Amino acid sequence: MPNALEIRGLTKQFEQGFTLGPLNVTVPAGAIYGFVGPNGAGKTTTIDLIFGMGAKDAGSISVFGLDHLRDEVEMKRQVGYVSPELDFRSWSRIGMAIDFVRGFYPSWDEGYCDHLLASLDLNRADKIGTLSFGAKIKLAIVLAMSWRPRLLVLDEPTIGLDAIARQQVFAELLAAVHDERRAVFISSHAITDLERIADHVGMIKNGQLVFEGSTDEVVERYRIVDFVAQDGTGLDGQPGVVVQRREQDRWRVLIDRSVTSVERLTGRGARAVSDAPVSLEELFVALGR
Amino acid sequence: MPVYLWFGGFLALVWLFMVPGALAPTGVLAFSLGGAWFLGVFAGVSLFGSREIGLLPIPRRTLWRAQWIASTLVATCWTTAAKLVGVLAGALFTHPPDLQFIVLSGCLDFLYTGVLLAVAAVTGVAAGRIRDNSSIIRRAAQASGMFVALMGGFAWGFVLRPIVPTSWAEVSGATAMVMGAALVVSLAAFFYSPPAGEPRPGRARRDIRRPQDGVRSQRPGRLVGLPRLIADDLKSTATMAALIPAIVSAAFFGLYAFNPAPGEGTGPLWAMKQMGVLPLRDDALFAHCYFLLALGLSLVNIRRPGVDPVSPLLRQLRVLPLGLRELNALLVGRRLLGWLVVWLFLLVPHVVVFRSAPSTLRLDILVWVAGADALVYAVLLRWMKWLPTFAFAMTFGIVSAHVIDRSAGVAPIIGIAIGLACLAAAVSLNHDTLTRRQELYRGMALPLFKPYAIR
Repeated sequence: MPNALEIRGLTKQFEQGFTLGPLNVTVPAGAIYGFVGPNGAGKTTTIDLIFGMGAKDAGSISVFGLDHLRDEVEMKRQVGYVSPELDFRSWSRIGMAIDFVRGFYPSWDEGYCDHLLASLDLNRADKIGTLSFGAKIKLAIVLAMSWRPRLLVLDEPTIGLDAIARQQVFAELLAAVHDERRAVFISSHAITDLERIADHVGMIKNGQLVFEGSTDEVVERYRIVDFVAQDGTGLDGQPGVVVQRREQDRWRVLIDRSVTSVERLTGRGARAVSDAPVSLEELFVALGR
Repeated sequence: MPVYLWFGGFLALVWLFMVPGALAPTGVLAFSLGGAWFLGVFAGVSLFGSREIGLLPIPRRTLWRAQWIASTLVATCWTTAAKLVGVLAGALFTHPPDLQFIVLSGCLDFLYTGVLLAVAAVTGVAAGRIRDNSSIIRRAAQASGMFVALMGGFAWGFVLRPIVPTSWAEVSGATAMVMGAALVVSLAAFFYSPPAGEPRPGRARRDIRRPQDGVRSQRPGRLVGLPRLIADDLKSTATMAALIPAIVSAAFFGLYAFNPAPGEGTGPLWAMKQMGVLPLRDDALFAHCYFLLALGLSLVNIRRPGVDPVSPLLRQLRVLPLGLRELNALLVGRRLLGWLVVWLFLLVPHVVVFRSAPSTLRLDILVWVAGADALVYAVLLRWMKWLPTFAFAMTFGIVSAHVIDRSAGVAPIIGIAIGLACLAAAVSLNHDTLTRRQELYRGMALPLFKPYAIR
């Protein structure tokens, strides 16, 4: 089975100087892929380019083997999209927005739509103009999930949601991908939640992919180690080492074990005093600086 | 600021052409009052009522006084400066400037804006503080404040024509008393202090968890998808097409009919005929003025989600299973369909007023105006700047309308050719915009003023 989303060598240069890529991202079918990165790293730009919002300079994007431009319509029949930037003000009520969107998808599941509305505390009769920011995100989620897309692309879907609503959304996402043919590509700053539900994760910074892989492997790959070292020559600037903090002769560093090891650094005159696993959030903060 | 420049230039043009016999002084004064209201009271309420202004660490009274100064003094100075420019430019070619008339007009502008601002303050609509949970009396006061100070501001000058003096010599004792009272009210408004605790403008948000009794499945047979969007778009266009002639003729020239100057006709139908509001009168001085007006209005409408359902939906339309060509066809085709609807809606009042079908209801003009509109819309999407697009629309509209006027007897096909060329240009421009401009999908922010918020 082809990958749900495959981005190869994606590049886009902006007039302001920012360059995205070359970017390679692989979302296997059935995966929940967390796409993380600091503000302005290029997450939304990447997602926009998937849908043809803006022109790429180079590279390819395919969804279940379909090219995102050549097979545009067929590709979009497979992909649901959620973003806080979707604007529903053209429709006075939720029911009208549903009427509009469902006309594009023969697979629209009215019963599932009603279930999602009830689950997310929305009502077809609600006026869109009076919805809170979070409720508009929920509406976008309902519209994207009700036709059971094979790939769900979510750009900051939990922004503005309270903790309860966030849990509801993630529960629905998990329920949606119980079928292994479906996948979710989710860009979010709710990293603690992502770590719980995402089985794959990729981090982007300044337009470049920092890491990608299964969440367990990525978290396993990095360690936070405290060293005692008179001078940092054996640590600072070493490949696979990111210095987090230094207090006199104590160094806290993040080690990429696929590049280097604690033993190798110890051999350079540093003494390890503690060695701990990292959470995804710690990894994000360490590498995102 | 661009609005000040644009409107100031327009006002200067009106006064430039105020040669004796061409424009009645009462009409010029009335237009000036309308301009002062627009740049003063209306713009002030829109700007000072914004949430951002309300969050500034400035006392309410200080904010109000700033609003008063901007709404009365600044607006009056600006309109007076524009009038001076126009009159002095006119003096180079025609007659010496009547500075007394300008001073009188300036005084009237100041009094007019001052009184309207006072009305807005007393009725609670001055700083956008409208609440929908207040008492009936208060809501009625707010509604009248809206009508008098915010919606009707342009028209009252025309209504007051019979009593407005056109020279200092015409200022009688009674008129002087009225002007004195207006001055007192205007100055008193400066010392008004907005009450504390009134909510800043903004929409009420709702995110209340409640039982799902109202959740129900869709009724079968309803329009869905693209047909739904197109139907809504056409419905909105039809509403505007029905409203615009009525509003324009009533607000601007219907008032003449009920309040005629010597030698003028009477009645709303007379006013409609005189105005040329109806499309393409054979004997109109400038046959396409209605469409130029409508072209401009359609640009204003683009930034109103309630009126134009398509523009805010561009991001969603791009992620739906629609091809680029279909989306482009929607953007261009909706203008063509929209104008067809406008055409049909205007046919009815035309037949009522003139007792005949318009001889100018021609295919070439329909294609021209639809093409011009599609091109203007494409230009707006591409550059997202309201004022240059408006200027482009008006210039292009006037030039091409003249070309069509001049060539009508020779080759009616010229209108069709211009229209088709515009449509082709619009398609090409849209294609480039839809594929290359990411900003297009991040919300269309085209503020003329900040929208008036109702809480």
